[in-house]
Amino acid sequence: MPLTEKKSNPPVFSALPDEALMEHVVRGSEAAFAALVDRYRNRIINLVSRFISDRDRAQEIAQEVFLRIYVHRERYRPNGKFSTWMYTIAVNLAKNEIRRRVRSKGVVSLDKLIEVAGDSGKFVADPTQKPDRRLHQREVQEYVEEALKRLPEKFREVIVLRDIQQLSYEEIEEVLGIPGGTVRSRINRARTSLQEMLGDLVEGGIDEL
Amino acid sequence: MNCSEARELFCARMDEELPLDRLSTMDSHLAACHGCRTAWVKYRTTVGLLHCLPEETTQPAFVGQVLDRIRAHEAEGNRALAPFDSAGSASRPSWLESLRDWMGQWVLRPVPAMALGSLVIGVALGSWANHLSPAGTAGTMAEVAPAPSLETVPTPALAPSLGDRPFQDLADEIEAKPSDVRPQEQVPFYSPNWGGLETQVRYSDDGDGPRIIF
Repeated sequence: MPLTEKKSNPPVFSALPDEALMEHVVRGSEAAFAALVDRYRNRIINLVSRFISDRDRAQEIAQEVFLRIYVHRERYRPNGKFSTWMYTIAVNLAKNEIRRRVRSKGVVSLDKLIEVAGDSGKFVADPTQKPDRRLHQREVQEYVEEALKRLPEKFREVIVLRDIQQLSYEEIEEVLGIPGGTVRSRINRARTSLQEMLGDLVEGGIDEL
Repeated sequence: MNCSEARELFCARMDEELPLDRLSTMDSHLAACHGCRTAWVKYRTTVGLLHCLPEETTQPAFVGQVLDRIRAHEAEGNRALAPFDSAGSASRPSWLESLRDWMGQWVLRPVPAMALGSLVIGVALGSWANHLSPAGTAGTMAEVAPAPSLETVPTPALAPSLGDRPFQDLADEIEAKPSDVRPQEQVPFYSPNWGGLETQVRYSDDGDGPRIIF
């Protein structure tokens, strides 16, 4: 069914839950789909950007995520959580992008992607803060970003999903297709590795933020 | 609860997955153990730093761009896109894809591929030459190529000038007359093992009769 705008008596899509919106999307509602895209666009950009460390390319991949959601909308099962399905698509596209870039650069290990990754994104500072404090905060954020990029992929993906995207363990299990015990173990190891990388910053840097 | 048990629970506590009784036991341990308390603060700080990362955002125009792409896709006749229904189904390459990717690197980079090929051939030739060397001792191709068979090289015990003299006497004599040695006339060496003492020996005939040089 092609994408169409229903002009007559449109429901207030922004108030509907994801699953109800998807029912409208399956029937071809452009407004319902636009509401879904608007609801999740920042979260998807954030997720993909953390995975591939390239904000511009993350925009394109995020568009691809929503395109695939639309194209494969009839595969969505209403008894499943929409966001989990969407995150699965986003994670897989992001991982494919990582592999594509590794191949194109001739890098043997995925973990060496950091060497071929582009910009890590510019941070939006709070304009109400004093300049020196804002500078310090940006430095801390860049430091954390770099440490995150240095994590092995399997650790980075769980920590992004858990500590940045705030997904539950069960959702991460479903998105990544790995058992719950593995999810917990990887999250713990990822945090511990990150803690070692951050070193002095963890010792007392947080108090200065 | 000991320190190891307490630290294993950091992750569950951070994610509020710890049952109340375990939480209480852990709190008691942290109150009494300075090391674990410090470790817990570091762990919590690490996760807190992740929460401080700024969120990437998009412009509202993003929605329109997505809709435009969908329309363009439909205009192209809905060309097939790879499905992503199950986690990992599209992200985990098969062994064939992995092999193709690995080989692709070398196809795309001919100079390293040629260098690797040369190295492999060199190692193979070296290994073959080493196999031909009687004692398995590495030597140059020039040394190895004219090597006689082992049967043509007399053993020290059979050498005419050696007689039954002990090994140390032979060594002293040779050391005292270095001019007797003509390296260009040496036949390739081999390594006998005398009483557990393995040494390299060259057999030379300088016109005054054959002799062993060490």
